[in-house]
Amino acid sequence: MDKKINVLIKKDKTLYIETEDFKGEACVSAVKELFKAFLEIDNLELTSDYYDGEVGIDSGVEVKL
Amino acid sequence: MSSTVNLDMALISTSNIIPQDQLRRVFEECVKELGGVIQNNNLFLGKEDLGKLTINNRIVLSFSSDYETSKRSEVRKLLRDTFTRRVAIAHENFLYELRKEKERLEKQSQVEAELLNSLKEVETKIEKSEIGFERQNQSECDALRGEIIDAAVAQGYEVVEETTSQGVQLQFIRRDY
Repeated sequence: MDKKINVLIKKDKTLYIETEDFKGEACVSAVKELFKAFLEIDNLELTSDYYDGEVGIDSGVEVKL
Repeated sequence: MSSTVNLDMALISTSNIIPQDQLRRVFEECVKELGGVIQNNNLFLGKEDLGKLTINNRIVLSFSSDYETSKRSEVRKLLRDTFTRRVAIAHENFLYELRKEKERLEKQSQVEAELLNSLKEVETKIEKSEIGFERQNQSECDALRGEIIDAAVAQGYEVVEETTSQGVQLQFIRRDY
């Protein structure tokens, strides 16, 4: 299944990041990998979706660069 | 009507061992060693005309019909053996020169490849610098969009972009094949 990372660049420059179809913690790794050149993401604020299931819309992350 | 031709040829030198001018010179030395002479492309050993020589990138002797058949086998061996012995040194020298030339050209191509790589690197830096400066002059949001897209593409994602009322929505897709 294709894996997706949705990034919303909000008007206030905040990024809202969602992942789709990753399994388990792979979503966290993928987000960290994508943004590694920008900043080191130490702790992600994971939404409740993350804990709901293994596959599906896994997480929503707010990042302020 | 049909016709047949009988050709009795001696292949004294195979082709391409050494350059043609050197081949001729080595063969002339060979003939001299055997006490022979070449006149009008005819080979004489002693006073006997063996036949016609064709010298290009190889050497072929076409026996004269007047030359005794019984002597041909011996004389072709003599010519071939003498020439083979003499051409060996010229062949070694020729290979030495060719290998030196090959080495020189390999070094040159290596330098050229390095130059081409450097050129590509500089071109890439120019391109990236231009893009960077262009982005620097855009809004932060647009600049960020460009930078994130570049990072995603470099990591093998496909990009779908959409502007919404909330901001810019980017979707990065990694295909599983």
